[in-house]
Amino acid sequence: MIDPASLASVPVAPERPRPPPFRRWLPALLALILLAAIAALWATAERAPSDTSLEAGFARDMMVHHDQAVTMALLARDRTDDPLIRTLTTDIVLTQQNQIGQMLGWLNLWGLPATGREPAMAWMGHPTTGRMPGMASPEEIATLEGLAGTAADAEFLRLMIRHHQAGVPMAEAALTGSGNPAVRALARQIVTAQEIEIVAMQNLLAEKDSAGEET
Amino acid sequence: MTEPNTSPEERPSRAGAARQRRSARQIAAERQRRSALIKGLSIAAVVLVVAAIAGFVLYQRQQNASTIPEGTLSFTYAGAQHSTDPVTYTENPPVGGVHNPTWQNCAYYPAPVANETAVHSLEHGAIWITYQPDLPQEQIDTLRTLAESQSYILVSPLDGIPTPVVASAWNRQVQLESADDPRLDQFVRSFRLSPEAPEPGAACGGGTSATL
Repeated sequence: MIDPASLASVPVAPERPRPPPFRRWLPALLALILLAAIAALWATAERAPSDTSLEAGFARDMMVHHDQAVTMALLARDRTDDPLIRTLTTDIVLTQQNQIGQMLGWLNLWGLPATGREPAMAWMGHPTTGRMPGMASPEEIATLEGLAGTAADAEFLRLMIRHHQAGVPMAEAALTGSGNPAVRALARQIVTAQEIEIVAMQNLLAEKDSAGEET
Repeated sequence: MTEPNTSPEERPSRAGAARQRRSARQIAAERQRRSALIKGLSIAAVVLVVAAIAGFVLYQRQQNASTIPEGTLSFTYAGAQHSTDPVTYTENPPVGGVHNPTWQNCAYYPAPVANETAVHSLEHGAIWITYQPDLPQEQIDTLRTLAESQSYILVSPLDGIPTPVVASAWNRQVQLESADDPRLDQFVRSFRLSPEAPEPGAACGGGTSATL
């Protein structure tokens, strides 16, 4: 046996003692935890929709669609003698202009221009060049501009029913496809309001048409 | 025990113990190298992932942004001054300044419109595309389609403009030789309803559709 005291005098072990395994793998473990945290944040963070997203496409196209509804409602409001039509058109102008403002606000917050690079409705699988479905032609707008009284009311209702009938599926596409709470909320409001308005306008139009036949 | 890494069986002699210690030292050094490698690789992995995410975010931001077309001119008119008097504008077509209380409805017009009402539409975020009256019909049709498929686009002929097609937004203008120049779409994308306009999203309907 070697005397333990002589052993102790030998200049050994300038190296540190071997760290336990968990200490050696600590950096890797920390890195793994950090990466997992980054991944979790990345996955759950509410990121702004991209330029070609469904949300951006919906906002851009619905703004254009609403814009014409406002224009037609303003024309009808200036031409009607019917308090019901006046109320209806006032409601459409203010509601849809408010919704245009919401959608333009989203695009600004998302850092996206109001004009997309893709054709209209590409986001819902129906790329469209020219007028979107339901939109009145310039000739139809000019016709409305030239009418007055009950004739203007009836023409407005016809154009606006068709406009809403095309607007509802667009909002439904956003409701089905988007996980963005603000987008879903507005899309749902548009579907609900426009479906109710379609029925109300069909009833008003039936009255106008029967009144037109009587006179 | 003062030598924790050396067991009694491993010390048959002093020379042997020294050999053992050397190899123990080598092993320890190797372990240290391995620890350093693990540490280094861990840091590299984190840095790499963070850099990749940052790069992706920057790339997407750049993809989202609109590219201001080459040759875009900039001006510094402040908004909101109204006047029913005729206004003499410095630029032709004008890009801002005093304007009529009524705005020009956004549409395609086959005849010139008043500068004073068109400037009001610019204030609301519209793009006003003016063309020389002798522009080839196919190009006029291109501009017309643009106006009729989008909101906030005003198209009208105008005499004396510097190039066949000139697109203007509030404080911005691009002068083009043709309606087919890709810079026209870039200009529309950059400035239609842009936050640069004094009142983006204010109406471009419900105003006047009058032509001169």
